[in-house]
Amino acid sequence: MKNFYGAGHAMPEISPHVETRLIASPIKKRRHEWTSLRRKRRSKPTSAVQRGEVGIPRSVQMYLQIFLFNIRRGVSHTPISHTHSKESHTPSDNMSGRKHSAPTVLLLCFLCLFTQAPAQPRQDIGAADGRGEVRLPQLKDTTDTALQIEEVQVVSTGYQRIPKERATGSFEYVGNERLNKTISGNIIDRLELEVPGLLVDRSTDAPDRFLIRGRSSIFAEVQPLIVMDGFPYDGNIDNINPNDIESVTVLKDAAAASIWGARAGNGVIVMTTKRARSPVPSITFSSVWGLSGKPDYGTVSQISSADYIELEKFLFEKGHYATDEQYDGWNYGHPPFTPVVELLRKQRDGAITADMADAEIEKLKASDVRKDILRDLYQLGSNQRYALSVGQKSGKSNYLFSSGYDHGRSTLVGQRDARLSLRMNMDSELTDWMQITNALSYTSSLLSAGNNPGFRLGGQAQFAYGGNKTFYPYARLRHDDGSPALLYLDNNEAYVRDMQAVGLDWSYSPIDDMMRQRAESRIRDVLLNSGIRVSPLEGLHISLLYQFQDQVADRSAIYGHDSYYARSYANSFAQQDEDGQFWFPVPKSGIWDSNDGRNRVHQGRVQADWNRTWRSVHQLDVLGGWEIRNSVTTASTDRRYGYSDEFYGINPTVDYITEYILSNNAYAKYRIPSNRSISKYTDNFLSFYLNGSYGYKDRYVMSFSARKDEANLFGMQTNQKGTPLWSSGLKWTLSKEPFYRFSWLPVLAFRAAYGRSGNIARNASALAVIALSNSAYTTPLPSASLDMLPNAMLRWEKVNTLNLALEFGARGGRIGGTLEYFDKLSEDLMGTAPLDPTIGRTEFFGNVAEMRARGFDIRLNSILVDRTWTWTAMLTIGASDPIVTRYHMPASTKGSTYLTRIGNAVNPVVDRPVFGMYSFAWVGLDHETGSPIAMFEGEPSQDYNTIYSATALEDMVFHGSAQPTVYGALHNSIRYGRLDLSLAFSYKMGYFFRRSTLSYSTLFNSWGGHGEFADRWQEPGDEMQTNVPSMVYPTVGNRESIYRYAAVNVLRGDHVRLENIRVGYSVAGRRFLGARLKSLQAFALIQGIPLVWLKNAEKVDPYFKQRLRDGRQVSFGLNFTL
Amino acid sequence: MVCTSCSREEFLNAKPDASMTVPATLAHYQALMDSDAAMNGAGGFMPLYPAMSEIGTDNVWFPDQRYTKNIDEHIRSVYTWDADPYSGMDVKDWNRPYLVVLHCNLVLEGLRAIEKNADNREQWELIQGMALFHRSHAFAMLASVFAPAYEKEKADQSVGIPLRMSADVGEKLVRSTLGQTYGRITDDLEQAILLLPEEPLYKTRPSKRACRALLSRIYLWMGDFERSNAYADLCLKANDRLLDYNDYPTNVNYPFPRFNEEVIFNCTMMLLSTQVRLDTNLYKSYDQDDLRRVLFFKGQSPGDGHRFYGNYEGTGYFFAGLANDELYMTRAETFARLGEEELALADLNKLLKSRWRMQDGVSTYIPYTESDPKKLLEIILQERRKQLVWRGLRWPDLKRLNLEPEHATVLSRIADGETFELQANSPRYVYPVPDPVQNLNPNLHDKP
Repeated sequence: MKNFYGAGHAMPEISPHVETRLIASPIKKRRHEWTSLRRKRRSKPTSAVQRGEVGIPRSVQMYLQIFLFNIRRGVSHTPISHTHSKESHTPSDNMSGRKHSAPTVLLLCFLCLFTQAPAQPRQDIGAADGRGEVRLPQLKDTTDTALQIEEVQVVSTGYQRIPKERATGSFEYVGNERLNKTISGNIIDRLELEVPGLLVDRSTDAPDRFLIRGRSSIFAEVQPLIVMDGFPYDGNIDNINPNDIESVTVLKDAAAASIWGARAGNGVIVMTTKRARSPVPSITFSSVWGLSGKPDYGTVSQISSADYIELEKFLFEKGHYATDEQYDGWNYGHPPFTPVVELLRKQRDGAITADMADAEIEKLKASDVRKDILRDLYQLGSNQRYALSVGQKSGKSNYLFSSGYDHGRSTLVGQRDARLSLRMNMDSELTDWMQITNALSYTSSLLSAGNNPGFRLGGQAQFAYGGNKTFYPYARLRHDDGSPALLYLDNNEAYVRDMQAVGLDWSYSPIDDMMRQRAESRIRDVLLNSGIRVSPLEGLHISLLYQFQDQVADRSAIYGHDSYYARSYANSFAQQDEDGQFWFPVPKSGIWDSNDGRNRVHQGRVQADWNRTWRSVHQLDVLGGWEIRNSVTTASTDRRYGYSDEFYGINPTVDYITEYILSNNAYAKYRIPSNRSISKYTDNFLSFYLNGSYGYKDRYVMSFSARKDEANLFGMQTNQKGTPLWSSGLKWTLSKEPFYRFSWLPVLAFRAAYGRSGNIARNASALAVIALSNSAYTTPLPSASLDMLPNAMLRWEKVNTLNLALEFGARGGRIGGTLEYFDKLSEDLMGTAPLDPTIGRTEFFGNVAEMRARGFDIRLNSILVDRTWTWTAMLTIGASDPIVTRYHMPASTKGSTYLTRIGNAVNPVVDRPVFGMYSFAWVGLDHETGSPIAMFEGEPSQDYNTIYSATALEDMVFHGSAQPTVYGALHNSIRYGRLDLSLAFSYKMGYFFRRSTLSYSTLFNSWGGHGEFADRWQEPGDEMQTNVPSMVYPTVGNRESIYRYAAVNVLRGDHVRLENIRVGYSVAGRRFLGARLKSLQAFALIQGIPLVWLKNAEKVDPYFKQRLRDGRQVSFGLNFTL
Repeated sequence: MVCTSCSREEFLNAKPDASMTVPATLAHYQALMDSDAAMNGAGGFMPLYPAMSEIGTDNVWFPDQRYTKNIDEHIRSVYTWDADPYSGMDVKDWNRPYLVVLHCNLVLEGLRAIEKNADNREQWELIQGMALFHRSHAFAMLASVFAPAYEKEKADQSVGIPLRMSADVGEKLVRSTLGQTYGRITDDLEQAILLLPEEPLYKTRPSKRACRALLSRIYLWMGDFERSNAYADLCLKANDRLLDYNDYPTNVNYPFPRFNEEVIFNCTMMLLSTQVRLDTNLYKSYDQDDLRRVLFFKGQSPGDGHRFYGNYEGTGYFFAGLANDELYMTRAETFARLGEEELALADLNKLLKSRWRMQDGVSTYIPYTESDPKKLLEIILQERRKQLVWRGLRWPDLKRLNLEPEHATVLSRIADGETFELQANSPRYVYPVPDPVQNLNPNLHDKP
């Protein structure tokens, strides 16, 4: 037996009725009762009521709400009792074991309703001991409810709310307290450690940012659908303020998600915003203040200054810089030289003596650019988050006004972000049978950054042939006297000096330039949500809902007249007239780039719900509806030359037609780029859906759902065929059977569901599609290219999911949880398939692939210690390893095709994961030469071009998936009195990544160097200790690629990391400075702790692969409710 | 609410991406036909004319070091007349013309849904004419490399190319007979003459003259010299202009501009390979006073031969369209074959005179006066090869001339120390159907 409808706040449609009843009691009396309760608590310190600062465990109020709710609906078997008799579930009976009288409980509950109690209810409301007696057991266990079994009771699909006990599908509910465990401003970050099966991949080159149960598609969308207050949210997810979110339900299988039809194949994340619940005005304030330390260079390997200088001497000897000098002379770009090379050139040309050069060079050996970068480009970051909300639920209406303001200063100097969010939720009951709901929200966010590439510092001139070098290890950002130093990364020093004399300023100082250009990204989001709900008959509700969302994203970059970017642009295009005077086709005053986007979404829905219960044993819930959705996205980019703050209104005439020979490269001829583009995308959907569930005696629940979507994506032919997507599910609560006898395991239930949801690919069409352009290549005639072949057989992608689950809970909540097994078969996946070229194309994009993912999600909750202090733990495990099972396009037989991945470009191979990790079989280094040896067709080989281009796919080493296949989190929470301490660990297993390695050609030509250089093979015998090939000059084609892509450089990504430590303190019902606080919480949170267990012996953290490790973040938070 | 005024159909037919269009209007079809990138191979992204029409001929030569090191295996195989020249690869020479065919079929099918009336008649017919011309042009390119030389008596037994006639992805395709292939090409071109204007707006568009010029070429391939002569004559009567090569600079890479006066219809050929050089004997056959020697070819380092630059495209992409010089050569040849030696000589001399150096206002050209018909034909054929070098015309010329024993040629070349030979009338003059095509459509095999 269990606990059901928990978090009452998640059931707004029933709560008004509950409230009505509760409010019957006058306020004064309530207060009196409340104070008396407090006294009572003090008198009995062991009771949970005393320790749980919030007054009464939420479970009790939930229980009462549901109890009352069910009374209203005429349900005789309330969740309190799985057995029948009306007498057994009266409050007095329930409470008798707890020495509370029924009225007290009612009041307790009542009082709790207007505290913004942060603690979650504990679900174990009652346990059947087989005698039909129900009691509220072990209230003292309700301390840290977040980690307890089934803390959630009402899940939301976005179309309806279902008591968790009647849900046949895989729903994961994350309540407010769990959402508030961390402080990220992004809702997905807050879900990361809470939901088994949700993979948030933070690896440096992760193909997908977040996934539910692994990939379901190859080329189509793989991100879950985000739903907010019943409608898909298409905006930028960063624009959602997590403080506005009351709860999140993650829909993982078909029975849960297929109601969303063609967009549900990747799972659905349903968010519900907060509603007021307190009958007296309630003010909640929260603030978080945090500091982030500077990042840590330990994860980036870099060649030492001394090594690099020695290398440069060697290269100089070899004449490596001769071509650059030649190009400089030809005005074929003006390749830069490092200070050491400049000195060596001067020495060669006799301008300085060898001793002088050596002395200067020795000095340079002592510099380390990393120090300068950390000192000048990074700072202590900070962030502040404030949220204030005022709400009241009085009589027939409730309102909640909330506002939030976040401000962050990045650890990267010059970068900051801010977000303002305002939200008004208002519901009112016009009559007994009519309710209206309204929500209006406005969010504005800003991300602003100067020109500070951080440790990716490099030359930035757009037309500098031979330039764009990265920094060298002994570069300095400041002179000894502290003044900003110039770096020569695009042009050499002499050229910069000479050009300065004729009025072209090419000088670049990273420190000075930092604030001369500014990139800003502003996103403004207005959301309006209105609904009306009428109940003409008992059990029948008809609702009409409408939502409008308007999101405007303006991104701009302003390059000031003195910025390096604008100067180098104007300089490159500068033209000399007959007198040798320069004139500037690109005006010198600055450049303004804009990139604006707008997304407007109208969504409407008509829905009817019908609930009926017969003879207390049959319960039927049916809903059906019709939905329309229109989303229009427009975007434009533009660039204005000659922009400056003073001449805002002036738009200088720029000649975009003439091709100019560049001043810094006589061999390059360019038009001035206009960067102008516009685009418009429209998504229209019409959908019908139906959903029903039938429950018998709470033991058996059957559910069914179906949906048909029609969209403008595919053209009419497919719409007419429209495949219905559906699901069905079954739940059997064994522990409620009369014959069930295991009192030590009061909760035992099985679920099974199967169904089909869809996924859409936008880049396919049933009809031929052309793209028009204004002119052809050689004529001014309008022309059109054929973009898509007609494909009358085009279909939705379909994801068939079988889900089997077991829910259990031991007595007293000692251990409990959910085990789910799923088998997900994705069919009709879009992909590229070969076509007889005689048709006109060699390939077409169609429904050609299949994938299968089998795996499991596990959530285990446990109370490890339950004394005066409690220790609870929650473990989540998600496992999913999707495999491509069918693909029509023959896999490339060349192994090298599978080595690199650009973005999420996919090369699917049948029977392998979508993103697989491949490498060359490594033998080692040659004893004589230190050259790499790899296996080729079973023989060790040093024929690098052949190995690279001719190794067959089946001869490549296949390591496994490049995406984690087993992942999850472990939460530990310890509470003592008002103090609590929690530690969250995360882990990701079963995947591989390629570590970064030394590249001699990069080292020689772009100056960036890997620290492995020190470990390179230098003399026979070194091959025993190292795998880093010897240096050869000049570099040999593919010799480096063989090493780079060798099996030795593929590492296991498996790791466990301590995500955060949180210490909290909470009190409730105290007087503080004359004000009465309903609750107060203070906490400290530490994140970015470099405590990581890594499986790979090299100790490379996949999160920070050749990237700075984020600094430690310490945050302090305070929340209180008045 | 959202779109209550518009119908469900309109709502679901809204363009998902505004830059995408489902073609439906004459303007759309016109734009498809005017896509010079697809239809003429302009812009260098998708050159059109099959490279195999040049690479197997005696015009090209790979110096040994380039042959052994720098060229792809399939080019090597084609160059040495390998029986399996593709080694499983995609063959652009086949794929590319069929893309043109797809465009044309889409347009021809689309036109059927648009009523022709007094207002749109002119444009409607222009589009139809363009589609018919482009499709015939593509079929002709394909036939020149993937089908044998045309012999009237064997035309119904020899295999032609698959004649794709619809835009349907599911169309069942088989190889037609050679008679059907050429019948389709000539019938469509003759129909297109009725639809197209005399002169095009731009030379990427076909015209009546382009149809006639192409028909003249096709009938020459078919051995129908009367018709070939008649069409060449019709064309040249309307416009017989020739470039005077003295007007073009010898110190630039690509001396001839695109759309120049000699050009009737513009089209590019696939890049053979940057490694390819002119056959050394052919180079030597150009007279010192022949301006083509300097305008067409640029010397590389000693022993590395000469590269071809004198195309009428004005860029590194070779011209393979229709031009007056070809018509002069065709008319000269057909006159010679039809016993009109005087007229043949007139055409030949007129053309060559415009190619020769002017010295102090006097042409250095010494006109031919050959009176022996056989010798004259030999001269014309040799001059044809020299004028139309690198236009994709040598391979079909070799094929048709091999049918005449007195003009049959045995090709031979030495590459990397090995000697290769291609006998006249060898079945290797017909390139096999590419492997990916055969794999996906077993009906398109090589056997008739």
